[in-house]
Amino acid sequence: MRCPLEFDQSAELIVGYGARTLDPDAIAAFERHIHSCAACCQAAAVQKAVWAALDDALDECPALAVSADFDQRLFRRIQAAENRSWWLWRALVPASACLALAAVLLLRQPDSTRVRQAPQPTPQIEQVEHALDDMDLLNQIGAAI
Amino acid sequence: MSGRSPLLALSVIAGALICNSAAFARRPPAARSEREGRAGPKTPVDEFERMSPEQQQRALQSLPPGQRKKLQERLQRFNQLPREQQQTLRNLYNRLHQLPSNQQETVRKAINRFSGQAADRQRAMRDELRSLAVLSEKDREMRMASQEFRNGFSRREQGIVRDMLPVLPSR
Repeated sequence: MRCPLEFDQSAELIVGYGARTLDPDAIAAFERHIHSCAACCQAAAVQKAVWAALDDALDECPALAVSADFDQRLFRRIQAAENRSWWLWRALVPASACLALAAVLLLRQPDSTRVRQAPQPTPQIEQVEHALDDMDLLNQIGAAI
Repeated sequence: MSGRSPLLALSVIAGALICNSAAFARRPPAARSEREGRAGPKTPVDEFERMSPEQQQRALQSLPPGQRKKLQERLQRFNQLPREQQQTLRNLYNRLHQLPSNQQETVRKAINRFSGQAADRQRAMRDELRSLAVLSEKDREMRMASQEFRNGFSRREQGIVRDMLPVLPSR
């Protein structure tokens, strides 16, 4: 067998060996190889130590073990979270529409009140004079109308 | 579908409210002034009278002393007129100022021509204007086209009366 450390998939092979996920032929070939390769022997030993430590930890603390219905419970929680966000969305849209409506009305309101509450313009004194000129003129026919 | 119904209702309410406020904003000034009071729009004289004494003094200060004194006397004269006459003048002034400027000028010239006529002719024209004031537009035209009107007034006098018509109240 060619030394796995000399090609790219070495990590996959060595980690798979430690995790016992390799097929029996690959395990046999790799075990034959580590008898003659010190580097691979050391890497395999490290992997075995890591997996042994994980097994010990799970034995000592069963809570860390993944339960059989883990996937089912996970998908239920994802579904619940999605439902919550949908209800939140349904509440937020009308609330936002109300806020937008209130903003529009508030912005429009000063416009109309400005028309009604605008301070009376101060007449230029020349305008007062011209108005009196016109009124003097109109006074000549005023009594008739 | 049920998720859309609150949105639909909100859109309808929003549309109604916006249209309602827009309709108020678009209401013509005449309609508003009717609501605000029957006196109608004020003249510059009324606006001056509504100013505080300090503001009036400040405005008058911008005039040379002689012109200031003359204006004060004219204002005093206006304020001493009977209330009814003041209101008649306000109405005439406002009707005059609602006309296009060239038509305003025509009315002013007609009044000047009127004041150049003899006193009895002025009285005759005043009486005619008083009669015309209560008629509709159509009846005014008919009256001025009548033989009686043509025989009663010279061409010049007919022109004066015709030119003054735009300041008569609409019927």
